[in-house]
Amino acid sequence: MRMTAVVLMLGLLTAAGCRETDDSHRRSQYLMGTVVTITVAGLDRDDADRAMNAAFEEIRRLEGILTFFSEDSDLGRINAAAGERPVGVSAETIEVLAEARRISDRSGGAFDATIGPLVSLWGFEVKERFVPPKEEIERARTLVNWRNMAVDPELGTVRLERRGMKVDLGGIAKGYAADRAAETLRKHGVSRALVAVAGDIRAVGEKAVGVAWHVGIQHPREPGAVLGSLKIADRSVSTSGDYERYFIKDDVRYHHILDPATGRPAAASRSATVLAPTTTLSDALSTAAFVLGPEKGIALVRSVPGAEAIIVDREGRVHVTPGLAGKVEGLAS
Amino acid sequence: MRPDRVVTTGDIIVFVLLLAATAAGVAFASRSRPAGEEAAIEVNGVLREKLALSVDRLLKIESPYGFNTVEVSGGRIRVREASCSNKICAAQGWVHRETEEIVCLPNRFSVRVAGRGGEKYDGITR
Amino acid sequence: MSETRLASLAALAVVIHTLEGMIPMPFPWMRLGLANIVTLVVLALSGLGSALMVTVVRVVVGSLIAGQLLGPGFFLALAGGTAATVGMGLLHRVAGGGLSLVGVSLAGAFLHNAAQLAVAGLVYTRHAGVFYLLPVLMGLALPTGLVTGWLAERVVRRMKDDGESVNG
Repeated sequence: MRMTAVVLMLGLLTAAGCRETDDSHRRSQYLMGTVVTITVAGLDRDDADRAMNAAFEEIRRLEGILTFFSEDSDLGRINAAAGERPVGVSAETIEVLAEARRISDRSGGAFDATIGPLVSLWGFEVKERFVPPKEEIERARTLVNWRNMAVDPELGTVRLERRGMKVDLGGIAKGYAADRAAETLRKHGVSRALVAVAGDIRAVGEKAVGVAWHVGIQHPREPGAVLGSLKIADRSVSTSGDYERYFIKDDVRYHHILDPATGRPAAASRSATVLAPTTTLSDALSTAAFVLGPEKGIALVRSVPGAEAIIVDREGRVHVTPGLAGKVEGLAS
Repeated sequence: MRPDRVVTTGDIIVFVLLLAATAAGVAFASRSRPAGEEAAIEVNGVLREKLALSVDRLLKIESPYGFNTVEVSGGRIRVREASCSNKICAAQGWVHRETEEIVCLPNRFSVRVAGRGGEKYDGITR
Repeated sequence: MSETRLASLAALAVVIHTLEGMIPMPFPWMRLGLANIVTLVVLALSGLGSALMVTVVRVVVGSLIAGQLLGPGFFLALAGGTAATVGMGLLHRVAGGGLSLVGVSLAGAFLHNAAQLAVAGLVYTRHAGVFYLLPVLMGLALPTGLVTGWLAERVVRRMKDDGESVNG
């Protein structure tokens, strides 16, 4: 009796609401410790579903290879053999580490994939409100140096020169995963899609003919608000900010993006957003630009072909690369 | 035996008044809360799927606690089948308005209807 | 009404309450309201005081049996039950012959749901979303109130007839 009534009432409520149709298909999954959202446009539901499933599967596979938290992953094995011997790894690991090395060279180490010892020391991954003693920071810092990571594409091996070194791909793996997922979507016949691995976003084609994908930039101090927005097609965008994972102790904000030069959370910026041809690049460059701060960060991004940046400095002032001037919607000044 | 007439005029007046009150309540509720655009499915507090309510589909969510099969149809979502013992989740029927929620405690499973995150944008970089 | 009869009716209410609790509902505290038949019968034959007593006994013993004494479900049931019984008692007295138990029961079902929702919303969830259920629950009160009221009226007439013929 009551059950029939429930159905009746809900039916009534439904009839009262309006419906909306949208030709895009959107799904999210929890992968790589974050929310991955894929939007596919211009395909029927079954084809879009098949492509999305394959893309999610690809990210899940990469997660298994690149995770910092497993001893069996490529990363786990590289770290375990630090200072001992080269480790044979998958082509994907070689690709992402080679790219990481290039960006480290370019940024003078502001982005450094060998940041592992510092990340472990600060323990942002396990949510401790802990500030390590100076001596320990110094000791960990001396282990952080991308030049001591040898990547051999011919042999397919990676070697960390010093015992205690650790590779952490927190600043590049999500971007790489977005690129690979986009590639997988294309192979499944998708020509319009937006892949968002947390805030690392890759646009495949346009949303519709003549309509770009509209991406908001998170405001670094107002949760749920955007700083401005960008229209992108066949491009990637990433943001690094001090607001994602942080704690405040004695009025100091300790966040998860560490400056390899000081061994402490980088203090020059509130957030850095980078546009680039690939998400691997935009992810790593946004970390580097965040660490370097407005002047050096903008200079770095300007030196990379096809890259643009929006950096909010520690005072909240917004700096943009010349190529982006006037192109960020809703941005004051 | 008395005459078998049970319902009095007063009863009918009460019925009509309450019916009117219910109709007013339904009208109020349906106007004050917009229809949701997507549903977030969580198992044990961890997001498993986000589904657009505009796309009809059937999806089985499996976890160590059991399975729940959700169905999206015509902008609404419901739990169609579940491995739990009480089937409260399936009995709750369709939901489609923002903040409406179906919870299956035995399977630590929940479906929550929400508006589209950052509606204006296709994505947010953060 | 004799104390023995009142006690056996209270026991009957507990049994119905317990059986009813086994019927799956969208919300754990939701009930068909069949136990309300007993409350209505006692109300009609013996007045508000007795009805209130039966309700309290039903909720306390019923929750004890279900192992939920002093739990959230208990307070929800107590709030709903007492609000409905008091409301129905007053209405029955005021309206006199103008209303049969059907009308009284309808009003009681409404009060029952409203009181439960108020307690659930204010005390347990502190979530405004609960109040969006109000119209739904109100709508549910109509058919259930109608059925329980009609059944109660029939029972009361039968009991009165029996009382006249058997003089028990």
